[in-house]
Amino acid sequence: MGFRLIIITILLCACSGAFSQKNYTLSGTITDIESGEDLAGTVLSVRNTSYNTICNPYGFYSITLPEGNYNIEIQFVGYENQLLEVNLNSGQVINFRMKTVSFELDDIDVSGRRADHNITSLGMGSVKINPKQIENIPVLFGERDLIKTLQLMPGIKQAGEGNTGFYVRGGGLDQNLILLDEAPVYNASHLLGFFSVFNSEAIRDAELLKGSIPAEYGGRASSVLDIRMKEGNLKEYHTTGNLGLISSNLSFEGPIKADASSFMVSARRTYADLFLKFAPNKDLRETDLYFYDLNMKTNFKLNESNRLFVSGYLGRDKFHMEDQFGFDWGSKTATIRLNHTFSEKLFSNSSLIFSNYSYQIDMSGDNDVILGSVIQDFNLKQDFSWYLNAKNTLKFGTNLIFHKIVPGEVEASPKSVYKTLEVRPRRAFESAFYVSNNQQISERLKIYYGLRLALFSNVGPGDFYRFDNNGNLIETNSFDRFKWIKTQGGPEPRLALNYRIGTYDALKASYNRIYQFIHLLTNSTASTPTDVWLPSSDNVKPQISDQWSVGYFRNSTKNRYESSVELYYKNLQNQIDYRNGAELVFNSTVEAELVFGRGWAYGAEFLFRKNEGKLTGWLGYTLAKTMRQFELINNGQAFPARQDRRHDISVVAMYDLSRKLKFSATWVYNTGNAVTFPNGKYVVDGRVVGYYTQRNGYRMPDYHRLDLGLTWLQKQTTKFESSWNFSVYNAYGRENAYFISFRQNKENPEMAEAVQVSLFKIIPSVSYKFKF
Amino acid sequence: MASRLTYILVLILVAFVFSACEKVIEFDLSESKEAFVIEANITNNKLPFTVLVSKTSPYFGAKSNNPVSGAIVSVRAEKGKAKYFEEIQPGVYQLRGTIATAGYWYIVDVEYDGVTYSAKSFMNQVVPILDLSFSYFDGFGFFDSGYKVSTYIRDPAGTENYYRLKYYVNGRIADDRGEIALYSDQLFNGKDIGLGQRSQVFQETDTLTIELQSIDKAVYNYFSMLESISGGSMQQTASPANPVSNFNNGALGYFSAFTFDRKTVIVKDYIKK
Repeated sequence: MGFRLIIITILLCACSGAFSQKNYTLSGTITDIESGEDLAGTVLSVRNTSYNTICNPYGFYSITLPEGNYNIEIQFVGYENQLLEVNLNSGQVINFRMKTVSFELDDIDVSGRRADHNITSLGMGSVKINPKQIENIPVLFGERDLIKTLQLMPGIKQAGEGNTGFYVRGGGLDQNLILLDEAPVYNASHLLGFFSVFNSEAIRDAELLKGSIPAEYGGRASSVLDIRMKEGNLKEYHTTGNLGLISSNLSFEGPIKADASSFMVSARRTYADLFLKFAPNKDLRETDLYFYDLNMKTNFKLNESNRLFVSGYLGRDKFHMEDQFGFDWGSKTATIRLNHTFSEKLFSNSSLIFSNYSYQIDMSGDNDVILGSVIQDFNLKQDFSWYLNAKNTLKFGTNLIFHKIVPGEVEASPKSVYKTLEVRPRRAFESAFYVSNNQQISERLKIYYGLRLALFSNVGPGDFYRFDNNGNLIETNSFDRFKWIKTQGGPEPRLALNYRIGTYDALKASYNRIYQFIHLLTNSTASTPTDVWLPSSDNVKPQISDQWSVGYFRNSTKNRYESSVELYYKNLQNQIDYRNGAELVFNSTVEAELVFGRGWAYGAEFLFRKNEGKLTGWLGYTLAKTMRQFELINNGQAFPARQDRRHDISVVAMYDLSRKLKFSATWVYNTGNAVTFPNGKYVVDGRVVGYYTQRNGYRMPDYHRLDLGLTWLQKQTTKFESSWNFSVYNAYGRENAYFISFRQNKENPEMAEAVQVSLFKIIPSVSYKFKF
Repeated sequence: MASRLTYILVLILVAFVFSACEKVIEFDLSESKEAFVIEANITNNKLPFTVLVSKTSPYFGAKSNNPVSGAIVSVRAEKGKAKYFEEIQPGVYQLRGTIATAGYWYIVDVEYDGVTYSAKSFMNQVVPILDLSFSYFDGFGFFDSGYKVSTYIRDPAGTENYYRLKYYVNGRIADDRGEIALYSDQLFNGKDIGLGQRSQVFQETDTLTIELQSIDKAVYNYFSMLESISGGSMQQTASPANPVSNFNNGALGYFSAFTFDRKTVIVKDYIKK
């Protein structure tokens, strides 16, 4: 088959340079000197050559060089640079320990990660953040949220006011693969999307890939958000706490056995409902409305070549009214991971991953009924990194996922008047195999080429349906256990190149194809707990995205300023929308309600960034267009997608007023979303009803907002640290439209009027943080 | 059902946790070509059959209703002879003295300007109201306090049934929140059940008339779509669209051949003290 041929070609191609010289391998780990934690993403470069390598997510690096003397330089955000002279005449293991940049060093020129990383790396359209960087950015209710910070970058658009849902380069809300320690998170929001499930105290770093997506990732058509939890300090115990208006969190970390194993536990809970206890109304007093998160991680260095990690997440939203009614939803994930170093060149990561999202509506009070839905994954992942030589790094591996989706069930107790009903679960097996190589072709040219084979098979037991063109059920086929029903999918090429023009500029290009096999069905404007995921089947083809992008990256001398322009074009096949009035929940033949079409998006993203000095921050601008076309919608005419926003601007500025005071401000502006409004009215059933002729034919008013923040470092000693954060959301009180609805005028019911509802107008907040 | 619960949750959240602010704004809506609207109801009762014919009008226009005069309106059982309606007011067509029989398909034809718009609806058997019960609701946020009623019925076994409940207080229809009380027997086929209500509440002195309509599936779907685009719902559907009509040739509206049962009570007579 073609796939095998390509693997062989890659191997041959990669090996061709390997035998010509005597080469030795330098490998090891890079860790924080104080906590002993891995520093994934650290750049190790060889001075006066074009050789460099990046530490993998598990803190391991390997580079193979011809025999000789080298100056090795190590650079990472917020850490002091290290320079080491190495005489490479045999294979060597060197473990680097990096020291954090202390506050006192502020006015010295300290670069973040390798200063010219944006030019040297192959990655394009990628945004990396760690919680430290976002600490000072003002946010709604003072709840720091890495997703809300990501939404300030070009090409990543917020789904709605205060919402953690996001659209990447014209893709849908469900086209983002959100991974927490490799486990997919199916619903990343709390409280209808106003908060994300990621407690920033538990997060080590996060990377969002919107352009070039390496072959080890797949399954969602538009982007990957890869989030890693903190591993826990290997040397000392620390407690960190945050007290906020909406929620508080507490984290604890430390060694289990010094330098060999550690743990991290972090918990967060909101307490808005505690105030309800003082409400005059009895129903309110007995109402619960809160969410909580629990993150846990532990790791063990079994020996020099084996390391074991176990991590988990548990989060739930709860809403209960007396004992009458309860509604709760949330995610659970668990990851067990083994890192094994076969040799100084071959590194392996094996993971066993579990992920579950469910909601439950308990109406046992009056009706003795419980409703619910579950999506659950078991996932086995095997990745190899093979640091073949200084010019080639191969990655290959496989990923096998077993999905079980229970779209909805109604469980009635025997005394209930209702019946038990189950929309039959869907089971599927998703598999992927990939191989890729990162190759330095010449001093100036680096390329990445990879291929991922993505497959999806529906597996019995289950019912499968056939429909006619109008969505009427013709036939139901029931399949037995372990019966393979339909397999879909195909090869996904992934390409990227980096051409270094000069010392301070580079040209990059990339192409990806990605299949997406499970789809989110939602008919509302915000993420809701009852969103249903639907697997591909004989009626639902996988979504396929093809993205081409090019970018020009240029830094000022000494890399003090970074700037980039990226252009992209994305083509989306088999996009999903719904027939009018589609019932998406508790419907076993929901496939009949779907209509299929295509989408395309293109745009230009401009970013200008300053990473050092008293004033830091960035300015981003996106010019974009996002379209959809369905035969059965809008008379077959193409229409703008909801997230089609022509202009999108964000300005983020952080200024160090003094060593203890940091000021920050963000300003965002974007064209309003495309919306469907009536073009006429009529009377039916005694009510005035809008007449709709055009999908998304109107625009919401432009959105803009200024947020301000001030962080005061109250106390900082080696033993104890505390700080206050003050912020104002929407500082100039802009009434941004959350939605616009139309209704009859109260005085004159013959007349109609438009009503705008806005949510947040000047929201001040304060939070206190301590660490010891 | 679940989506309605989410809707309630959104309401409560917005009301308590966040300070939503509402204001009337100016918004330009472009005008479209007029569309034909037909609302046709026939029953098994002595009530006159009524068909309302109108056209759409500009959204911010002075009048909501734009009646159409001079249409030829008729009704027939699937294999029966057509009976013609009389226009009693502009756009209001009536047929008196005819009773439809449950268990048959009926067809309404409206002819205007050389185009005939037809729709078909099935008349289900009457499902009687067996009993009512009232319970007091304390109120919650901006949900008012008052009595809520459960309407008890025996759902016919073996058939798909769809219901709509209409409440009249002191002779006036009570639907201030724009809700349409619809029920499908998917979850209680063949059982005795009390059909509950959502936010509407009644007071002790109210004279309440409850009308239980037994409707067909297309009409049930029509009204659930209608509810989702009207009634000023907080949780807007991402893409509102015209409810799917059972009329052909692009007409908006619906034709419902329904049976109904009514019960009129004074609320306090039913409350157990």
